[in-house]
Amino acid sequence: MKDLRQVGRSVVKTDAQGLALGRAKFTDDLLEGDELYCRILESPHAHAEILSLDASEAEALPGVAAIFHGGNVPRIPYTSAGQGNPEPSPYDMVLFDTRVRFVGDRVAMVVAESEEIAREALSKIRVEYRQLPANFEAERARNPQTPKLHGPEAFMPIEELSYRPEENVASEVLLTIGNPDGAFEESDFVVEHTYSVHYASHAALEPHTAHARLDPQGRLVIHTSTQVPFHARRITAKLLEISPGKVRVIKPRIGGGFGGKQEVLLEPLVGLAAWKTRRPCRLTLSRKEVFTSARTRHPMRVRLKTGFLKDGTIKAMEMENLMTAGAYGPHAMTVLTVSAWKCLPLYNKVEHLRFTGHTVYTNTPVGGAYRGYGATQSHFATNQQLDIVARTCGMDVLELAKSLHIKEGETSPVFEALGEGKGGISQTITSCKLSECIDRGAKALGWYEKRDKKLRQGSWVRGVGMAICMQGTGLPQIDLGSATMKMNEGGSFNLLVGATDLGTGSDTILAQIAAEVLGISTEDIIVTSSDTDVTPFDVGAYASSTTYVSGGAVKRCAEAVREQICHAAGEILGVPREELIFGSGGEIRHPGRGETVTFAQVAQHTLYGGTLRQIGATGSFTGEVSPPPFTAQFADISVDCDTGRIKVHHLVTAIDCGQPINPALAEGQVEGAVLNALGYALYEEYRFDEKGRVTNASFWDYKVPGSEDTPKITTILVDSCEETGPYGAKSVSEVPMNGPAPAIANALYDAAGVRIYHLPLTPEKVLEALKKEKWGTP
Amino acid sequence: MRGSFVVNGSVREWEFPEDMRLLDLLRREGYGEVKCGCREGMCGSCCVLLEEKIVNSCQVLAASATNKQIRTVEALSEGEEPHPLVTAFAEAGAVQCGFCTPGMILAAYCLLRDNPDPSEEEIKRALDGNYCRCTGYVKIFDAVQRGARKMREKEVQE
Amino acid sequence: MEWFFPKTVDEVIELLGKEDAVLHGGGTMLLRGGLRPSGKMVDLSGVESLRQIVMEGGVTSLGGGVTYAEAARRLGESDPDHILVQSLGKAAATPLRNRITLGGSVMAQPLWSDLLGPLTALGAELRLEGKNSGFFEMAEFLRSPELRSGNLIHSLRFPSVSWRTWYHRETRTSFDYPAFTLSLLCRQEGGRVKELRVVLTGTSKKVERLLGVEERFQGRDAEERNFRNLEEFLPETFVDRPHGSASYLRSVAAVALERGLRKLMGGDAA
Repeated sequence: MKDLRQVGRSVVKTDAQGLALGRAKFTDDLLEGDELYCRILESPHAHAEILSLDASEAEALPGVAAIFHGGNVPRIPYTSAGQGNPEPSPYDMVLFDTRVRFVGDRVAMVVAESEEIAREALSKIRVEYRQLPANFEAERARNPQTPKLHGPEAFMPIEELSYRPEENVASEVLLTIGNPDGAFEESDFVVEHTYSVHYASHAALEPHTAHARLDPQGRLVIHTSTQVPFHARRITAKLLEISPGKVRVIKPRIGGGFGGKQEVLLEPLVGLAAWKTRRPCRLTLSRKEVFTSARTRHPMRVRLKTGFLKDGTIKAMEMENLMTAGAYGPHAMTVLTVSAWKCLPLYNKVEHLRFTGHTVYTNTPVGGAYRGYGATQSHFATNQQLDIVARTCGMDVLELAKSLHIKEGETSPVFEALGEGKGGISQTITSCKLSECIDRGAKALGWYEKRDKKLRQGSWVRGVGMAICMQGTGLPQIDLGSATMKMNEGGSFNLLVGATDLGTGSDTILAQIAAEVLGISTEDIIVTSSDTDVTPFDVGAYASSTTYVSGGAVKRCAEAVREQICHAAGEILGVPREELIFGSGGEIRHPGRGETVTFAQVAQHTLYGGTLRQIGATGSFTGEVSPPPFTAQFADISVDCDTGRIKVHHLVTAIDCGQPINPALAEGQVEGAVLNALGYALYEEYRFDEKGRVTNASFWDYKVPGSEDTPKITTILVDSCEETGPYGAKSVSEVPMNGPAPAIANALYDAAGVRIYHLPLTPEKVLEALKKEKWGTP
Repeated sequence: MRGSFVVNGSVREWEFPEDMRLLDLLRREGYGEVKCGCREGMCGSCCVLLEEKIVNSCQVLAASATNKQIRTVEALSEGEEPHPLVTAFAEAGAVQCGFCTPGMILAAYCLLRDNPDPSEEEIKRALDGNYCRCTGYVKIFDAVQRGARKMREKEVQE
Repeated sequence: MEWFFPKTVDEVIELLGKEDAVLHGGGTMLLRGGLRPSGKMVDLSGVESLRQIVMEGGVTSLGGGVTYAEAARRLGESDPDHILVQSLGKAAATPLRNRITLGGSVMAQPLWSDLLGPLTALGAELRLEGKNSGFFEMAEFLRSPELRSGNLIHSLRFPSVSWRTWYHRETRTSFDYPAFTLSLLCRQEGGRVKELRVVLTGTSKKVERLLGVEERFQGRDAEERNFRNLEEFLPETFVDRPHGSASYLRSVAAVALERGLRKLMGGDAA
């Protein structure tokens, strides 16, 4: 798939300059002038019934326009998860409930003339709570005596999916292939460990924010920082009991998402406020509210049992995942499923497999979509276990990984067995350059010079570790993307896509795909995205679908437009279309006659001078398969044996993402994911007190990597081509999230002989492990 | 209270509450390039130049900035020509979501003003108060080097 | 709430006499916690005399209105290893260092300060103006809460001695407040330790001088220096922090102390 002119070029992002100048508009930058400001009253208790709520004193404050709460807003069960309809997530929430289930849960909303008045009004709302026993531990969630968070009112809209709120089970996923118990018996070695990963915040720099107003026709227009404008429209309309046609959702620039904005959180609130007050309403969460009351990564405990032979052949794998949903269950089933679906197929030669997964409710912050989406959690376990298998057998882990990973032409029964709401799909791997990733990554890191060497420098000892990862590329038969193009006079094109650019650069790469089809420069493609009135449907930015699914739609659309252009050129020259060749630079040639027609001429002909019609088309795409991208990720670290501090020298990612549409943007996705994963591995964590309150809901104490924390980061885009993807592309944004944490943990073992099974790898934890290793006791 | 400020070279007279933060006042008056990310002086999205020193505008009470020079990223570019750092950031792929970018560019500007040929360590230190969650900083460091080169070339030309 | 913009120290003192006068240096302490500022705000940024940095007569004097960034830069010009350059040059982050003032920081005395330890180690004196005009040693100021109201920190001063210095701040990431700090100042003469100062901050006592360590090394030659079992000299006053438990922090402080002392006294690298 070579000879590309636009695809494969590191074109500068279309919006880069506007953003760098500070001129591009984000939701909170929109100022109408007569907005009302919304603020949310949050629960101080982890679990309580609201016995009474008296807003009269607050309502009497001058400047308070409205107060909404469980007493005056209809109870319509829904899920906030930004997923297709019907969502594969439980309908376990209403806009304002009479029960609160975690500290930070929504109690009421004040709408007032200013932020100050709104805050003052919040303090005047009198709420009487009856506190209920709360449970913060996933391990105890299913015990009969543990308080249950949800009752019979909650249900799963897709009936076939398991849902047992009476056990605090938000989802159960079970899979058995072959006879694992028998296979364990036949193994030379059986190794079992329990790993765990923890709560994290996306910490996108722009807090969640939304703005709603009524247009002159009385329709609701919502500007919002969202990854899912179309789902936001549907769910908002449902909750306001109006038709989706009455709602328009527009995404302006957004300041990062990483999954945290694949959630319909604020749109129904500002929509409700604007609908009732008939005035523009805005709501921007404080950073603290983003930490406590938006969405998080789902904590997960992974018990992994591996049976293998002396030669490294893995005979059986048993994975038991216990995932914490928090107080509500958006993405409860899908993240759990992905922890199997986008991890286990890597090990397709393992004939005997058992997966037991449960997502449980606890009175803690709510998990949602977060880059990696379950795969990150299980990869932390599988990659450490792989390291253990290699060491037990005295094998080179790189050689072992190369021998056992899924290859081109192969399949895994896991693909067919599990699905995200619909059944799974059977698929064969059509592109996989993982072995090459392993080799090239190892070389870039200097693997063999450091592995098993325990090179010392004072109290610091050095080690290297590796992880192999996969993810998916869109949700086949579930994710729909579409694109509309029209031709303008002069030969430029409008490209309208529902796809959501979070800063990832999707506007740019979709323009590159269209430009490639039409043989022109991206400068002649004007992209409009994410406006439910103007752009055609797209599920939004998640499941690593944009390049493949939205890109696939753009390609189809542009190809249709190209045909129409050729046809019109034929009319101009008076020749059949078959005699024409589509050239580059906006020209169509008749080789026989040596004549060319320019796009500008075609436009003139079709809009004004000749056979009049608008050249344009709409293309749709959903995948038949979800071809996994693959990474081999490496960490080169040193650990200070006297303090437990880990210093990361170098993180290498070698990735097979098919043909990168824009290499610089693809690298940018890898680099961002890798540093985020570093923070997750070493110091990002939620801290709670005994009452379930988050005690570090601030950057002061929730530490994210800053400029001086960055190690050397190397990204290698290996040559690959996925035949089912537009110009050979697969996804790139999520998969690099999965490798760094296990690679660092493996490197720690390589350096100091200690293995830590629970993230984050704080210095204290590491030192305790080192002392235990050295002295037998901490 | 009333106060006078010099913002991006223009004298502005504004009426504002005594306890208003400079961040909120600037945004109210249309300087949307000054972003609000945390309100705690940690993320750096609200950075402005106050008397040519970079500060978190969310940690400055507007009243204490009266009669002082304030510059946002807008002030760096004169007329139609974007500042070399703006172009450098765009070209280097250092702009993903762009929320951190105005503050980040100001931090780079301050660095290069005092140190036209900085080392990687010096760049990291100068940007230590500006978080970015999208890029992993890799291309941001490239952009600062690129911008430094552009500015040195411009100096030579002028 | 009302704002005042004095130009001289005398004007500040007069304003301090009013009820609910609040001195405003950089304002970061006020705002970081989302506190509502109120009362009579006395903005000090226009008082030039509070921004002086003077090094003469064997004394370094830094105005109360000097920011961390200014102090680190100016002191760094003549002595890049000055302990205040190491501590203030790394505290918080660049934009905050342009705003946090020395006077404001000493007045607020946060548990996590990067300033109190070095100043104590330097033997700094504060010059107060107002209700209690005069010079006060750091330790005295820190234990006298009544000095914090009705007074302006005009400046602080310490002898311009050339010390060998070592500073440690225990953080999780680079942009982080310290769980504890260790300031070591050492002067040697003819291979013998003439003077050693060891100050630990971040414990429940806020600032502690580790006299036991100082005594062990004071007056010693190279051969006599004993770097073992320094943990004994660390107090039991460490507290649990997000960075780590009290016992972990104490053990890491012991490691940091040993490393610092070895580095300062030219001992073998640990």
